[in-house]
Amino acid sequence: MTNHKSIKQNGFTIIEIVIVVFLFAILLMGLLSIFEWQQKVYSVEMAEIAVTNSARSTLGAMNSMLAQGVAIIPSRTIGGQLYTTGGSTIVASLPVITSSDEVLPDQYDYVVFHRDGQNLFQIIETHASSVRPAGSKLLSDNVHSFSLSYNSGDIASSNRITATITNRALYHGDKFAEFSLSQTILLRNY
Amino acid sequence: MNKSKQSGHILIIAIVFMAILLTMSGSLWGYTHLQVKSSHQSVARSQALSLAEAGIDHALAQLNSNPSYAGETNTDLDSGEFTTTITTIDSQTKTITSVGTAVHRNIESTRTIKVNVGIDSEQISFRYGVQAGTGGFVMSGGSQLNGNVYSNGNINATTGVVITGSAIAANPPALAADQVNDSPTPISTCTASTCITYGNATATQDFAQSFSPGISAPMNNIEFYLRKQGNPGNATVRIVTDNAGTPSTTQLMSGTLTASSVTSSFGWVTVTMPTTPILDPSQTYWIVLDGNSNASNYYVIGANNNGYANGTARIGRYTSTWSNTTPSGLDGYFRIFMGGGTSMIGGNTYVTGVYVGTGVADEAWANRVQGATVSGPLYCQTGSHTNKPCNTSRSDPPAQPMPLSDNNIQAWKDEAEAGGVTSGNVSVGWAGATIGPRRITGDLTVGGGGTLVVSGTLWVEGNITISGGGEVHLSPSYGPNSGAIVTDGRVTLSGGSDFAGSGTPGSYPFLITTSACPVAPNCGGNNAISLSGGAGTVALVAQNGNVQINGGSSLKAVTAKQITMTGGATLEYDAGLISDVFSSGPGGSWTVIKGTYIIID
Repeated sequence: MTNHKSIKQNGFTIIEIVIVVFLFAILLMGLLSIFEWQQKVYSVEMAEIAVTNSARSTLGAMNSMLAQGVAIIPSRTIGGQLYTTGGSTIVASLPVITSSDEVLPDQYDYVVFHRDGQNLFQIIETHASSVRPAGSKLLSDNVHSFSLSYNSGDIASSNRITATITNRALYHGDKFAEFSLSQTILLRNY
Repeated sequence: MNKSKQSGHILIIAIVFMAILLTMSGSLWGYTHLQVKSSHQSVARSQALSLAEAGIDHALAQLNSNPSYAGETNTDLDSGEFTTTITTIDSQTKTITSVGTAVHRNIESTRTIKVNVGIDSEQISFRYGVQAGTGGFVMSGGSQLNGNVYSNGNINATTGVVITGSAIAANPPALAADQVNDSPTPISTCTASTCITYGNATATQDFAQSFSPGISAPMNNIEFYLRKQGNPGNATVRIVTDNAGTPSTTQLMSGTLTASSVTSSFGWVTVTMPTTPILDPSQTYWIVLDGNSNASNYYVIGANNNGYANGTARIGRYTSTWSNTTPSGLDGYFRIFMGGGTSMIGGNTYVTGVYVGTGVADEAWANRVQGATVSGPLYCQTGSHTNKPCNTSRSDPPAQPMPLSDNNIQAWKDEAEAGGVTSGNVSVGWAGATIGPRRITGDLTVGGGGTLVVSGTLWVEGNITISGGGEVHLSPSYGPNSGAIVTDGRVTLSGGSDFAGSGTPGSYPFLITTSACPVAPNCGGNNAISLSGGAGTVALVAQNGNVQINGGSSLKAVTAKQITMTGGATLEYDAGLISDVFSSGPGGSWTVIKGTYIIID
């Protein structure tokens, strides 16, 4: 009589592997489609948030600065660049704030809000004694339109500005989210 | 037969992929969360800035009703709170620092605004239909006030009178020695320069001492440093006006010096005086000790040489002649006490004495309220014959300053004079006239149905009389602004007199007198402003004097040291007077000083 040991063989048959790969592929496709859908939703949401945020923060920054405005200036050269007040640019003088939070009489800082393509910049020129940070700051990089209107035909006599901004951000290549905001700002030091 | 075990790894692979996807999603979600948080922060910053600005506006409003306002902490408002701090720089300038704190979707933001405010603008606030000084406000005979009243003295009201708004009566200033000449004491031995004898002869029968009050407050008592010789009788202590450096015969008030209170040794003796009328700090008055004369029974008052800068002593006889002291320039020893006591609303012993308010917000507020029906809260320390018990939670109301300063009035006078001077009297009859700006050195009279059109600020040095259907209108050129007509004399409005603004809403003519009548020379017992029938759209101001408003009159607002309304008179307050803008000239309200508004944080 001969004892035969069963030989255990581990492994998968080719059929099993094909089936597993096939099932795995289906599962992966499902997961990827869910992920792709999530990405689309995310893109839309991010675009919406970006334009809303951008518009709000831009007008908020403008209000914070121009509310302290003493006067609207027709034009000023800052950093070698000439800025002229008009429909998409505004130059204003501000009181100088010293390190002791006091106003320096008869001295001024200057602020410019200027649109250049899709970018909106805040440029500040400061007096030597001012604690305001000087320099240029990008407020928004997705400006679709930006307009300024004044309550007087003589801009230099205006003390109330209405700023309207529309921000637009693309998603999915050809679709865009858009948000418009408008704010009237009173120069409280005029 | 063995069952074959079959194991697989798909679950593990699926879990791995899910973990990768979740990690990617998690990071994306985190980025989105940051963006959303940034958005909330932007909203919170904007709200905080608005709250800080609300704090500034609120502080300004408070300063204009209470100059001693010092700020407040953590005042709730809608989406957050504000804290304001007031710092006094000088009498004309303060700094307001306002911190606004907002919480939006659990994101907190704080913004700080700092601004200087000053009293130097064209805006004046008349916040009350009736604002009375220390002389108080008296209503009787069916008169009605459609508005609020704030009095620095009593509000006396009898049956049938109505105050449709709130009534507030502040206490007089605390009792204090106002005018004093009292050293050195004691006087043990009399000399010609340390004692004044009076009552010993006809020519030296009476003693008088001139003085000027330092404040506009009720008189309380006068003390004299006296002794007597023998047994003189009582003396009448009179307060009279000045007549070119001597006592006149126009008595304003009197008290009694009781002989029994005076001894043969020097000491201070107190004479209680009436609380009215209220004397005027710009005037000179005389205290007259008026008695009989007897060579053996007389008084001696302590004195010094020019010890009192605001007056001098005389010796003589009341209603007759007066002489200098010997030596001249002596001043008697005296102390005048003014102020003290508490104020009251009402004065009747029945609940229907006066009706205060029409709504739940209209309040009555004074130390004492007697005989009143109040629609809203009743704040008092002592009450009787009222429709509700006293709410004692509030301390007595503070005194309110008058809305106009001497500088305001002088500025209007300067403005009027810049338009030219008309010497003598001006009379406007049926043909009418247009005048202003102009200074008139005499009287101004409008009557005969004529209309005076005021085209600029007027200053009348004499009296103003509007009667016989005479009208006073502001020129249409005033637009929404108000106009000032200033006089140093008395004002008499009667016989259907009528006032009107420019025709644009918010424009009011203001009739302002500096007269201190009836407690000044040449008043003849008349008040600074007397109104009897008519008036219309006009605000009357007599901060140094008394205003009498009689039956059939109607007006917009009145501010005076003492105000009396009788016989069906009606005052219809206009809310536009709260922020009244004059066409030019300085105002009396705190306003933002341009160029000082800064956002610190």
